Amino acid sequence: MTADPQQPGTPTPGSPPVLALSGAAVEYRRHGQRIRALDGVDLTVARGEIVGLVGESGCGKSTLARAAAGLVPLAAGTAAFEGQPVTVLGRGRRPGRLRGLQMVFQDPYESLNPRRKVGDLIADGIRLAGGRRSSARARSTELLERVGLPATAAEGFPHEFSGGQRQRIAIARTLAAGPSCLIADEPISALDASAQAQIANLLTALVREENIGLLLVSHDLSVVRQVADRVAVMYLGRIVESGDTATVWSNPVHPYTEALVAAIPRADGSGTLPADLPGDVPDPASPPSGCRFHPRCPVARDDCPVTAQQLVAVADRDGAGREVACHVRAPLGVPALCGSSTQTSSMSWTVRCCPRAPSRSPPTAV
Amino acid sequence: MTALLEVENLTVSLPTPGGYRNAVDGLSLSVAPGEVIGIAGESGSGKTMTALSLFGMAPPGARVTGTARLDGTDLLALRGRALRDIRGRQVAMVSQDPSAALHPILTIGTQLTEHMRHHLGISKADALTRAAGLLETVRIPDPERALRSYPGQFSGGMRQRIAIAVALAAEPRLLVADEPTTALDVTVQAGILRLLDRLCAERDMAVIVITHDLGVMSALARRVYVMYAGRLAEAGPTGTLLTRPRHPYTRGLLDALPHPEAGRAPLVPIGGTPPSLGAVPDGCPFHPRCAHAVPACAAARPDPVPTSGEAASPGPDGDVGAGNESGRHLLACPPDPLREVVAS
Repeated sequence: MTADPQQPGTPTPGSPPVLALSGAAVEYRRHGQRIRALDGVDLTVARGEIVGLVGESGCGKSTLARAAAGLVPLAAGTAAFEGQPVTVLGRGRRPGRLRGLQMVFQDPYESLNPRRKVGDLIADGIRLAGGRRSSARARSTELLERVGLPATAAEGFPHEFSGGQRQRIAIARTLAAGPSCLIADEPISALDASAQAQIANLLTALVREENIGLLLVSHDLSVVRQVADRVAVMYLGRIVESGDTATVWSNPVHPYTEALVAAIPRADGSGTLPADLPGDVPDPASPPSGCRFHPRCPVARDDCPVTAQQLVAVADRDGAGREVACHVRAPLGVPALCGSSTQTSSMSWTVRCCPRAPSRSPPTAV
Repeated sequence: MTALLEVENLTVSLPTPGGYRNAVDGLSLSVAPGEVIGIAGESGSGKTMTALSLFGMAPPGARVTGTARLDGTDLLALRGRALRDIRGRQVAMVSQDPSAALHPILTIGTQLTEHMRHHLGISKADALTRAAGLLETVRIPDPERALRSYPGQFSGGMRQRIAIAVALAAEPRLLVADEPTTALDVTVQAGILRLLDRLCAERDMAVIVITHDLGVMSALARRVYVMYAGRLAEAGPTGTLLTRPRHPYTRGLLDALPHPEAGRAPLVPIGGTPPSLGAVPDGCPFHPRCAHAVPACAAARPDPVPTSGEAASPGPDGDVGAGNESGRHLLACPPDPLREVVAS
């Protein structure tokens, strides 16, 4: 939790999340073997809120995004959009109630049909959202201007635009459906440095002004730090730490979060090499026992390989909610961090999304 | 310190529907043994074309002029056998995409020993022993088994480390790393940056690292060349360039980065987009996007010249300049609008 109360579009405490995952698990099959890419994840996104999801490749963050959008089926748990279950995309038409849940993909070179004009691409979205064919062109021009492109862009083909401009077009197309929640999977990773800043700013502005929820998946930690209200750190299919972005960054509790933050090279001209985290993410087909991070963990103890970790609420200095799954740094049942009393909980950051007004938001299973 | 590689006035012209256009335009740079230099800039700035032309790998139809002397041998003049003998042995390259650099159906062992045997003339058994050692250097677990494995059996980060091992196999004196860590996670990136830094010191190897990531630049490079639209915009010691940039473009690149102290302020992107090859503006190529542009900027193409007052501003590492030509702060921006800012 999160955003500064002064900011427009700050989620109202107690408002139901627009997107909620509860105990979500996804399994893939490889050579007849079942691989759990996502293992019991709870996550919520409220309107007007940006939730960042970070972790190394192979940690399941894209799987989480795809499961939340209904692109892959859940093996366990639930995914809900505006209180209704997210059904898996099949051959049939997607139910209309899911129209407000839209996805922005990483590569704007592949997500736009190269043979269709930009205006037509966006008009399709408007018609599918129930708009009239006659007014669709006018509306698509409006949307192009909303994302910072000239109205004349409607007459162009995708190849005439740069990567950053294409990503704007892709975003305009999602806006055509009038979304209340966007899921963006690495939306700026394929772009140039200056275009990255532009798209990050555009997404932030849309979230605040249109009161849209945004789940931002990225391996670029610096950008997530800059734009996200809350951040969730994933390791091998599980969330290991979550909380207010600024405090997670300045004061990481989980050793994995700490390693991620220390690995970011800083452009300060000091010539300092970033800190190394040895080893690779293990194969999710045979995850390590106990705490899945223990083979790479600098503070691992003898009991780490045998004790399953659960997310424990800890109190931050400024009272923002934080959850950490590390029994070394955040022991279960022990008042953690700055000495304030904390309750323990086995799951659901949903509960702790609203620490400012706990009485108004009784924990509800989603 | 004498330079290992000295590039002078490198120009690469590519055929476009409107005639030949310079993708790289009069670039000069140098790198000494054991030194890491960086080339920074957005896509289309000519960074990668510079690297490819050093290896005789410019696209078909390209016209490459200028000189690139490696110990007196002009790399740009080499053809055929002479070029093959230098490539891999003296100069090696690591590209952004490790899957493209490794052959998918040859074992890692074959790919590592192939040019080792060709260049160093050693036996297969010796080559395999050395290959296992190399894999250990780049921290691939169980090297013996890795030698019998195929690229597809490794993760992206491990494949990039293997690609670096292949590049290092014949002990090159110059390594060109084109966006070596862009596709990787920060943790893996940190490992590769530390590896390159160590190898550079241990083997006295020169490294040219090409990246748009100024954080990577700051960690690794001693000197940075900032390119824009094929031309050098600014060059100098990393510390000076990143803390007191003089070119508005360098300033813009830095401002577009998320900054730890900036809190939640919006990022400041550079307005506009880089020009395409066929439409580079007259005068300073950056002037249409530059907040400090004056009418004179559109008139003449500025050449990089040493900045005034550079002696008064040594970098934090203290050895900046050090009386050597390559340590100077060069700037291709005659109005020098950031000079006052820097001085104050």
